Amino acid sequence: MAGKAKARTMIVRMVSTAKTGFFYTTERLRVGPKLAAVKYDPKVKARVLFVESKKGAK
Amino acid sequence: MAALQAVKQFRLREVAPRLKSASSSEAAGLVKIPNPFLPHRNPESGRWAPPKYSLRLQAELIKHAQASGTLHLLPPGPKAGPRELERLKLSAQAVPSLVAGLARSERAQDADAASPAAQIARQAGEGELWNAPVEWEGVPHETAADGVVRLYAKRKRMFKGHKWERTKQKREEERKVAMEHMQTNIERFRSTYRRKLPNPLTVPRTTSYTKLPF
Repeated sequence: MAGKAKARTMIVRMVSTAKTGFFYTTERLRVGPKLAAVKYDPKVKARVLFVESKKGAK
Repeated sequence: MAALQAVKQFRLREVAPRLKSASSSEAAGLVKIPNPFLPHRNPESGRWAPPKYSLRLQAELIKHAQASGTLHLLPPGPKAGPRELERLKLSAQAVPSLVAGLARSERAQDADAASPAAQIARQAGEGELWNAPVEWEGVPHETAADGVVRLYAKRKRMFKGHKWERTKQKREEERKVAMEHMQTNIERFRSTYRRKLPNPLTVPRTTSYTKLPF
């Protein structure tokens, strides 16, 4: 029996570069560039750079 | 005042009924009352009855007595033995302004500002049973440690704090360092990230594994 085919998108975690441990969870294409965005971090109460984490969704 | 009222209630509950019966039977000398702060052994069954007042209540009563200057009315117990009571009385005497302040708030209508002790003495003269001198039965077990609250007296180590409390300073410093250059990081990111994203208008390069190049 054929195995499950890999999905087109994957769930990724965007971690704050302010080292607060706060993160956002989004989707991106499996074949695509790593996500990075400037988003609000409530721990620091300011907009900071969020970078996709290598660890994944969990 | 609430503190004096608490001590008075304690005395009315423990001392007054015994004194009433004693005065009616005309017993000589001080009335003997079993100490409600200590456990008592039943001579017939040989079992120990626990103290009438829990350790928490005892500590609260001592605090109220210290606030109202009525430490001489409380019996000695595991929280404050005879030595500890003497020490508390001495420390209370060292703060006459506090005692005077308490008296002033208590008897505002009175012309002369009398201390709570003097007020109690006056009430004794008026025939109050609750503040009459009493002999307490039972010897409290003397502890080596000082003070009413002795949480760490028998423990080797104090509570060192939660993990998050211990690491809080370090984490805050790390965050501060990270935020110092955040603005420059954001500007650099904004100027470069568009190049990294693929142009949605371009045709995607297909890689075929079946078509041979020759």
